[in-house]
Amino acid sequence: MKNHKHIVTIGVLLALSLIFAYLEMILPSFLPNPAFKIGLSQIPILLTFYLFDLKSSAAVSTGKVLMMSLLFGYFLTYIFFVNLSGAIFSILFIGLSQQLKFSIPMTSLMSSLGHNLGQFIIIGFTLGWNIALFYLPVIIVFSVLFGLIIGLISQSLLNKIEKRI
Amino acid sequence: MNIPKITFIKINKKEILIVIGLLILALTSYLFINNQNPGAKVKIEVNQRLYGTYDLNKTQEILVRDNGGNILLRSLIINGKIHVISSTCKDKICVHQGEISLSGQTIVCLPNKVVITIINDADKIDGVLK
Repeated sequence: MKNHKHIVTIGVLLALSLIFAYLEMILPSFLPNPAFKIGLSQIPILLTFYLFDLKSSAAVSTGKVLMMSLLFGYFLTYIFFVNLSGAIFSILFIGLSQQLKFSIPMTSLMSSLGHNLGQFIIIGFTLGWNIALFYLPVIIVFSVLFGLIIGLISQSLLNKIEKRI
Repeated sequence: MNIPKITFIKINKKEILIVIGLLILALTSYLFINNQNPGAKVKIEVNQRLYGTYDLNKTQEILVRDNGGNILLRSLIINGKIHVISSTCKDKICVHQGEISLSGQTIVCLPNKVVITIINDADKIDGVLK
């Protein structure tokens, strides 16, 4: 860890991500399947990635899964591992798009695709691949759509943050 | 705090091509998977094991239990549609998913590992009825 400010900022971003995740949990979903989420909690993770580095955003992402599972009582259950796999894959995909020099909306899209892919792999191995395949087209379309929207929100936020520093 | 200068990379052709490719992939897989026929039967699996198949045209209530005999969820078949009435899981996503009736459609309860799938008569059912 570099300095105190770094740690505090990451803590605040993690808290923000938890609040977004909670909001998404309690708000009624307008998507075809109530399990689908817009991914508002990805905004702080993307901000962490662009303000610091991949390691810090990995800490926020896995920290979010861990804290949510402890808060809502599903630590070390099946759902916890599904979410953890999603978080790990989304970070891997952010790292991949860093290597490929993608723009911010595209990085967000990749992270959203990675999140779903990670969850699919666990669900496919435990519940059968035909369920995962049935939802594939819808998942891709929503990943692209909401990934880009979340990416554009993050981009405008980063623009504003950069001006303040 | 020295924050590295954020490099704003513009959306370029490569990225637009990837997005279009993904959408084409989604469309083709949708055309492969999608068949909007009303199904004839309901298959319920618990933890990848076949729990039972039920006639979709007969009004009935199905209690899904785990190996220990504890009730995982209650579902109801009415008017050729199936929906989950109540479940022991926390998020209740399976309950909010509502009714399904077309073949291929599924209701998944992830915490309980219960999968409800609508199937056609022609579809082969592998496994033994419990």
